[in-house]
Amino acid sequence: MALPIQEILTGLSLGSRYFLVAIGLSLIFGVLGVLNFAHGALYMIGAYVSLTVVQNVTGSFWVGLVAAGLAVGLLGAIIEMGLIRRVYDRDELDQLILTFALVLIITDLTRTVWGSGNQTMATPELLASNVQFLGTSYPAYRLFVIVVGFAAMGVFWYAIQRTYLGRLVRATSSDRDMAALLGVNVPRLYTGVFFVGSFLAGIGGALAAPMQAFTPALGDQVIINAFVIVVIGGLGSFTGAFVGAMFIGLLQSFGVLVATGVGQLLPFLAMILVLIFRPEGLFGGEGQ
Amino acid sequence: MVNDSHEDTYRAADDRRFAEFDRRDFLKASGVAGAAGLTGFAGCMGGGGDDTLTFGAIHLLSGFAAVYGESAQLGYEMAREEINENGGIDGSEIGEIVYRDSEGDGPTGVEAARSLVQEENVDGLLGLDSSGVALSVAPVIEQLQTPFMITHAATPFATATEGENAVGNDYVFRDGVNLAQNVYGSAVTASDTDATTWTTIGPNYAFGTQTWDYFKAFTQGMDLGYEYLDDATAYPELGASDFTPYINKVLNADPDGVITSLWGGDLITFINQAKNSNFFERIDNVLMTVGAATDVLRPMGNNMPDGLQAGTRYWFDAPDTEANNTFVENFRDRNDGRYPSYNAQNAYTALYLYKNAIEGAGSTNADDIIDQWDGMQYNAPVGEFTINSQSNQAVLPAVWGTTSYSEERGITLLDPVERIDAPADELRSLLEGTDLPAGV
Repeated sequence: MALPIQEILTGLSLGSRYFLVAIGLSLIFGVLGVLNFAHGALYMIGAYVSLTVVQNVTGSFWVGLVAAGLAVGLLGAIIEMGLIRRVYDRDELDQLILTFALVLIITDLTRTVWGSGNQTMATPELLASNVQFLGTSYPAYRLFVIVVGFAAMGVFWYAIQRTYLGRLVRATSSDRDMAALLGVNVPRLYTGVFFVGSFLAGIGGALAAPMQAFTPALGDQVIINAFVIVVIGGLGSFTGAFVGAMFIGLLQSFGVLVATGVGQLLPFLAMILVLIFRPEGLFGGEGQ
Repeated sequence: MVNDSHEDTYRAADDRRFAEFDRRDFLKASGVAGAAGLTGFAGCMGGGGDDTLTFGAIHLLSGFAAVYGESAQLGYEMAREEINENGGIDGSEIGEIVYRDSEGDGPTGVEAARSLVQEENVDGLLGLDSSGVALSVAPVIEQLQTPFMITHAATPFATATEGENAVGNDYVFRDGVNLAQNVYGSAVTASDTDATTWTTIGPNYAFGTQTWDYFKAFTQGMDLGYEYLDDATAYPELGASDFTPYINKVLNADPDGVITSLWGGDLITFINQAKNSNFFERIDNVLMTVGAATDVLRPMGNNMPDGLQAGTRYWFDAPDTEANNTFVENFRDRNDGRYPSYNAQNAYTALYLYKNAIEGAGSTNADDIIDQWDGMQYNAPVGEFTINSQSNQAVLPAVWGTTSYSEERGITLLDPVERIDAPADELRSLLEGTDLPAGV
């Protein structure tokens, strides 16, 4: 009985990590209409900022986590104001080329500052042990990541559906010109949305840092899964991003038991099926 | 990943091109033209008259394993400066080492090799960090007729000429331990344990699957009576962020021993996640074929578990020879005290092998260099070795040891460390009846 629970928890923990990247990607596309290829690079910066703060500044993982979110959020806001804002009305291909250029620049700058070697970070002491959970022993840190993923989903759902700011975001994503006419400061709102999406990417990267070795290529590895998830869930839908992320996490976790390599293959097969039978994604076109 | 259809296209194009006008014809033609004063570049093709030599190196210089290419660069540049400070090669300086990024991709590696020879006019080629890339590049080297010293990629098929999948040829050599030699060391190490049921977790490409195939073949050849849990083998993708599903799969099969060929960042991620799953408490015997790589040990610090069996292709503490001690001391002086990786040592040695061959032949002609390398004996930091003239492979011992963190030196050491001789005839004999070449 221990194995299925282990696999479920592993799948949810993978899904939660993916969700924190996919949600930002989906949010920025849903509101701003920009497919931000540099989102993975922002996630990677989050891991490095967290590492630097923990190793060289405070020694506290928690400070590193918040610092990573804020630093990457700020970086995202600067990128939006300085570059992305200039291509909102341009062809999607121009946006893709611009954000891809950002990937190359951010990756090279990271390599210059931190080097190409593998970096590792210790698990925070508070969560370094295993806990007994549903009859199995499971790393506390992974359970924490699952909690963060579900909490992020809850906060997002509440903010978008129940708050004034959420209504502004939904209104602006539906009709930018009308929102502007009604007095919404659209440029500031867009910068805010980019900040929040980047903040989540930074938090995601910081949470990943104690779980794996990472290099400046971390973003490349993450962005592919994030794209698969938002395609399955529906571009612009955060419910879709959540369901897609958990679905992919569980597929990868259980796929390993089926056959070699299947754990990596199944998400792409799922994406192909979704594209054929429901091209807008499982939750696409539902306005959230 | 190697794209076979692209490969076929490249090979067909090469066949046509070289059928019409091969490099030998080109050299002759340019020699004649040079003599007539019509061209001045014949010298930099190795024909004399130019006082610099140029080498081309193909490595992973981007992506998650870029550190391996950078380690090799440290070795090349150290050798280049030493050689130039001591009079160069036969009086000629090594002008430049032209680096190209293979991106871990076969066709990209092939294009890099072709560009280095045809556009950069290099006198010799070096490099390759991936077995998959080596299998794509080796056949093209035969067409380019330029010497290639492989410094890292370990698949025996890249230098072997026997067997249907072997792609070795006269121009491809290797100065590092190949996979067969390394895994033979793991089989000898396994034979000292009481484990009888084995499985593997390795990267999902040639290196991972071949490691398991060779381990089974060697231990069967040694009549160790092992049971192999093929259903429990796990091959995660390169650069996977989470190995836990694979760790769970292996743990569920409850083997006595696990051999892992994971490397670089993947090995670090695996070890950290395996520790969280109590993997090392539950599996008594874990063999890591390239676990003793400084590119892994340095970032791991004191997080590497003690008491694991780890292999490597070069270990900075062994052998205790003047050549090795001087190399390590000079390398550390140049690189903020860090210990040289096997990639750095193999790269460093490769450039000296060119020096020896060119000086021995008195020429940079490709055929003269490969003639010199056949059967060459060389005293490298890794130890004294001979390049087997039959296989073009350096006959080297496998290095295996037990991990033990040293507070004093700030890195995990192999203590004790053992150099396990892997004689060519022994390897061939153990692999007899299989379709696996020893490549030595």
